[in-house]
Amino acid sequence: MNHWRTVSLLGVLLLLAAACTPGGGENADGEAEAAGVPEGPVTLTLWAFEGEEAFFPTLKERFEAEHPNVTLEITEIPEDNYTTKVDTALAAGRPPDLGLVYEPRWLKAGAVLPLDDVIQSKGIDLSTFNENAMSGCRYEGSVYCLGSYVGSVLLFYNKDLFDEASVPYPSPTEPMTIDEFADAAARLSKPNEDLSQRVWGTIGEAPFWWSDPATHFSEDGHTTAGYVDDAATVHLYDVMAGLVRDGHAPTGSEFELLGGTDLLATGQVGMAISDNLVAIEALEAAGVNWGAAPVPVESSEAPIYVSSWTDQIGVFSSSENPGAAKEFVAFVATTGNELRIEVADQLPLDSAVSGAERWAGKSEGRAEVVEVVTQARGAIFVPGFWEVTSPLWDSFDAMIQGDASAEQGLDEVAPIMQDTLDGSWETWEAIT
Amino acid sequence: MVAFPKKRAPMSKAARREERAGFLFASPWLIGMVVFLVGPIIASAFLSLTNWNLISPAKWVGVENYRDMATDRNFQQSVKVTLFFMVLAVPLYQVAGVALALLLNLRLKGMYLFRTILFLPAVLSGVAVAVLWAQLLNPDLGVVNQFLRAIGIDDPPRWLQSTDWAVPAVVLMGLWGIGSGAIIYLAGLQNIPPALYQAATIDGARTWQTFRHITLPLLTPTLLFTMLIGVIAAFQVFDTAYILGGSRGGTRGALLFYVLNLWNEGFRNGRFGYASALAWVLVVAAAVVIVLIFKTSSRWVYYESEGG
Repeated sequence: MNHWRTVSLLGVLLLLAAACTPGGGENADGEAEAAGVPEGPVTLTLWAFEGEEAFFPTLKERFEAEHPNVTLEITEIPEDNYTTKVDTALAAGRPPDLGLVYEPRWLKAGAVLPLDDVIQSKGIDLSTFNENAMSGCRYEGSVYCLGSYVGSVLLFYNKDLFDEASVPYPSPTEPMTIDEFADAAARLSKPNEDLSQRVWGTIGEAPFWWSDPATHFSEDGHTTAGYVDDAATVHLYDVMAGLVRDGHAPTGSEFELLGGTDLLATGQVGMAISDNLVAIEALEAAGVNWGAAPVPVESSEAPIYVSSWTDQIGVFSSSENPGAAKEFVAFVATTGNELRIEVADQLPLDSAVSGAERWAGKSEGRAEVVEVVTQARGAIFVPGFWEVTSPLWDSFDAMIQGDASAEQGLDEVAPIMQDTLDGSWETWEAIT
Repeated sequence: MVAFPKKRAPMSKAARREERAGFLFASPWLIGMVVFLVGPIIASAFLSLTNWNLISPAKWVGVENYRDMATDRNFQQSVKVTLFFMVLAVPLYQVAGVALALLLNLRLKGMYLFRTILFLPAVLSGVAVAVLWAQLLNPDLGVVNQFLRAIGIDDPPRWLQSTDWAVPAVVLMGLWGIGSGAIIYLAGLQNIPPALYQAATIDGARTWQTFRHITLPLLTPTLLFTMLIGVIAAFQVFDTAYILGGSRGGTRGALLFYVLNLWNEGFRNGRFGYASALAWVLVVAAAVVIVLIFKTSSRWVYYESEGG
């Protein structure tokens, strides 16, 4: 009796272990339906970030009006948890039909369907889509996602403060060098004991998140040592940290004392590197006379760089309605772009979409934003970019505090970053 | 005379029925334990020998994950931080807890009020407490440093922004919640027979002698329990570290506790195989420490029932 009990228990445990062993995500090698909505009732599920109160409900309404047999169910998920929830759903074999495919490893693992068929059948011209933003949707020659808006990192500036300091406006087509940027910041600064009356030239930002990745990585994305710690990048960090040390940019404590307000919108900062989605709304709400330019570059020979992104909506491979789902993505890339302007007053991903000129025509600043953004080019792919560059936050803080020079700081982090990058590539290559 | 163990007598029908009923009633819990606890534990042991990333099929890599730890800077840093915290926090919390319990054991009017107030931090959410202390420990604007400057310390520590003071800052936060530990010691103190103290008084023992020869030895079983709980809790620090230092583990990884690093590897880097290996190393390390504590306990833990 005891013997049988033991054997039964072991058997149950083994079965459970086998059941708990992962099978991995679905492969896109299975036959996928061609684009097109089937005739019967269809329900599509879309997982999106929270906060799109205006855009997604209107998008849903318009899509369902054009496809009466389709019901679109949108689930909002906090951005912080999004990747984990999708990963878990993929492991369980139960992802939604549609999602924001921000993880390149989902593309590599075959968890997302290519959209080349629907792009061709709908005649979507990708040549007018922001190339830097579309980099996240491309993998091995195919396109896996499309978007409705473009977010870009630009240099926004207060034209009135520039006029008062007799500093010429930055050009929307020719980026300033980092030395020109620092010189302008110094001239814009107006020191004052009363922090609420003080004007700083700019905000001292760690360069790695806004500058051209070529300043930190090789073209193939495999090497960072020798790039992040080269003379030009050291100078970039030295200048940016120096702006804070010299009082031309606020320190962290000064920010906190001012209650974390948007200093560009309140007219206390002459220029700042920020993203258009946040900055334009804040500047226009504050009534600031503003302009936009590309972010500064290492030297006069360095090309312009515009870091951009989009909502990257794609179809998961295990969708039971791939045809309808692809139809929706195509709708996002066409009508969705128009709705971005109409409903959310945001810059569309497709610069040629109807209404884009009207969006740009609302102000000189907006026209400059469009001028800058249309110069965006492709990005270097670096797996685990944020993980690899994370030591640079502390290193930059140390440079600001004066605990380390830019050269010392970057020399110290370069091998750490290279190790992490090697590990990231190893993890990337292991994805099948 | 050698006694051989008797063979178990065959069970009667009624006894067998009763045994089956027992298993049946316990089965919901047993099934839950197997499905949600034992099964995943066995699965994670297997996964630690693969390179599973949650979305691709798991590929066997043998002990490569365990070998990688030897050169993984984050692993080494997380071990250092966790051990530093354990060595600092566990003894300090025990000393502070006993001291507080001795005070709470005094027969003073309104003592129930003090006991309630000191226990209150234990009922607050860990996340809320961490957010609160992050404000208090702000190096430039926080109340703690403002107080230190007021008493003449011109250059107080930068706490969470300092690689040297980040872990002591977390220990300081934990001291605020010492009330819950003190309640356990208080229960231990109140179990000590008053007759022993009376006898000591009659023999002319001073306060320190009474504490050294009566209170402390009889409190050792409670101290053993709280030491074990404290060590296990130190191994498991996560939410405090995440709130105070973010997923990066604070300034230069000063708050990169072991479980935070494990979570990063699994959920941020997608390396579930490696994260499983980290989990098993944690289990083994914790088991070793706990066994060591138990093995040495016979030298310093006094059980009244054993006499002596």
